[in-house]
Amino acid sequence: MVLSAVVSLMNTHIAAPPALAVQTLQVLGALLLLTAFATVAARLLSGAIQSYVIQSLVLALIAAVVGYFTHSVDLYLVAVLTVIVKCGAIAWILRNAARRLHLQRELRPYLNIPASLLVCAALTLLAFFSSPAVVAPGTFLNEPKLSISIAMVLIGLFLLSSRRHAIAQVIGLLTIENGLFSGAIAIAYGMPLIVEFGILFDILVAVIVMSLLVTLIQREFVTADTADLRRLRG
Amino acid sequence: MVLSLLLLIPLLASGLCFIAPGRRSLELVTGISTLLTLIVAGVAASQVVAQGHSSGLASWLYADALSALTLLVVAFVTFTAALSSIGYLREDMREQDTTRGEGLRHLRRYYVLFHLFAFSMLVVPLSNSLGVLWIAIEGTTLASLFLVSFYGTGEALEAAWKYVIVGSVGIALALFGTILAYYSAVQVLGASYDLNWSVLAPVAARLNPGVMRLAFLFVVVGYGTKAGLAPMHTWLPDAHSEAPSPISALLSGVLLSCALYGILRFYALALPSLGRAYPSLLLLAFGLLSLLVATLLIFRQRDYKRLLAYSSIEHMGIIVIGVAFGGALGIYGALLQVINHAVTKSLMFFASGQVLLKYETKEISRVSGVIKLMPITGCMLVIGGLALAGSPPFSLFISEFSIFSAGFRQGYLPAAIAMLALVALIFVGLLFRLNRMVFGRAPEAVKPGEVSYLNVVAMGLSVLLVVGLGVFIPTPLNDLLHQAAAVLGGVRR
Repeated sequence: MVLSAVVSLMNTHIAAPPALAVQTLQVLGALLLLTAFATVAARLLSGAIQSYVIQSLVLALIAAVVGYFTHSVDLYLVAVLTVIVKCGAIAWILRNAARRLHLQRELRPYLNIPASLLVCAALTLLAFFSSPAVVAPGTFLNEPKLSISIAMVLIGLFLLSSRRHAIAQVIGLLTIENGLFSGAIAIAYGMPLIVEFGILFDILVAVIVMSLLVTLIQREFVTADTADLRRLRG
Repeated sequence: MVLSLLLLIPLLASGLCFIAPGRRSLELVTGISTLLTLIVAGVAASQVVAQGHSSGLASWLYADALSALTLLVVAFVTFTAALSSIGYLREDMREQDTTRGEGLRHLRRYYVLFHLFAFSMLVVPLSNSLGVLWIAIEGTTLASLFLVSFYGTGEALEAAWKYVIVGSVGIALALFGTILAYYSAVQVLGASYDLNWSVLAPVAARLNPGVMRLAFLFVVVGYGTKAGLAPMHTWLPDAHSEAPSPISALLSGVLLSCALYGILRFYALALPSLGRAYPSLLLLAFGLLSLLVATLLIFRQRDYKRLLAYSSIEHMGIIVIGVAFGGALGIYGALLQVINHAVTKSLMFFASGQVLLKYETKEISRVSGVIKLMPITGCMLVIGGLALAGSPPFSLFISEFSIFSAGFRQGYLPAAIAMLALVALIFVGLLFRLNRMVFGRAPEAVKPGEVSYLNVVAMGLSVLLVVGLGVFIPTPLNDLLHQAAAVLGGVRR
């Protein structure tokens, strides 16, 4: 296969990864984390969606760069599809869904934005201190660091649990997924191609289905504030 | 060949439902296709028993005994749920015009999604790749979401939202587990393989134990969310109580079993590199916690569908405890419990559908005298209730007893005793409630008579297994169970 060259590198530790590759990926990794913070900082939904689009673009770039340095055609494909599905289709669906809603921002978040950012910074520190043990030595590139992925997953989980707006929760979910995606690229150069396609397809369908559901919820409850969903208990 | 056919049938059925002209043809397609699926699943299972495993579609599909077992459960409950759906919807939508317009569109959407849901649940046990397994389990959520919110009421939409958000987070964690498992395999095999079980199983012993330990943890939490293990169970009672009853039967009987299959598959993968101690400890902890949560909440329920949902959490707990106890007996018992729970719980949800249509309430306190109004449904509730509570001579007694004695034999004495105590408490809680519903004075305003005879047929088929498997387990099924137990390391001595 295409990757056999890389595999031999991995197993024998002959070549250190090119410095250029490491530096580019470090910068992109930092950008990725920054965009995750931007989704938390955004006051309006449209801003959060915009940050998600940039985040996905950075992710696609990472896939392409890793693909370039590992000579993997598969990763180029993944990069292209990421742009089409996430920056294109998903962003369009989210914007459309958000436009149909009366509420364009978090009215009363459980935690205000400065406090949220502090929590996310703490989560990032947690990720940086807890994750190095996971990756075994000998992984070729190992960039962006897995700790960035884990930080993104934690930030996504935080968004999901601290936001009440349904669309904001969906963005939390998507942030988690982007984090996992970058993790897969960082430690294993992505999943097998067909699995990546399947995952992207699943996410696309999930976003379509959830935005439909949000519309129905708004029609029934006259809001997209999930804190109003509290008829079912125990 | 057989395996591809198995996936083709529900896909075709879904397509046919999309273009079917009217209610009759929708029902016909649904009945015939699910019966065909059941027959083909039987053929596939018998092939697996004879040959050890079976594969198809350029090794994308793969079935061993564990898959075949899950397959049979999915196919059987899908068939009975299809019969029940036809009966239930005819009655439920009696006041709407289902020949055209809005009513027909509603009905069509139900059946199209029903078959897609069945399709996604059939892909789960049949996929060779652990990545495709993940895609399929995520697919089950997406296909069943609008079945859960079918009624479109506020409660139904709330349940659906909770279901999709909690389910998606869980499934994302399982994806992380899958990525880690892939990573540990890349170190052994190189990056040019497809994450296939048939490739992974032979090298399982060489996988990096540190990474696999983490992978298994994430998979148990992730798929455990969909399997309804506490404390990730929060979506389950809402979704089960708000969905139409035949869908509740599918969710509880087979969706949970499919998610459990994901955990069991990774358990089999982790076993050679990690040994038994760590995976068992993890499963035991989640199992006991699920039992405890179910026990505490069963006593608080006022809604009989939620009651049944908590009983599902209980049974999922018992199953993973059985796997944790291990040994040939424990794993055999756990797998038997998967079958028994699926048929018994679907029986109970079909019966609760009858009650709901008749009394038009889900509150236990407003239902009484079911046996006078609907003698057959009343009897089913009694049989199913006794079986769920774990009393002899029904099938669940056999499997729970096997698990319990495995606990003793494998030296898990405190856990086994805790399990017994909690099951006994649930016995009281469950039967006390059902007793109130089944017996007592029937309300005079309600006309006696069974609601839907197709639903009665569905219950009849299920009860045959509930009683039958308690008395006698046919040899082919017994062989299948032993082979499946061997996949999970429970070899018969």
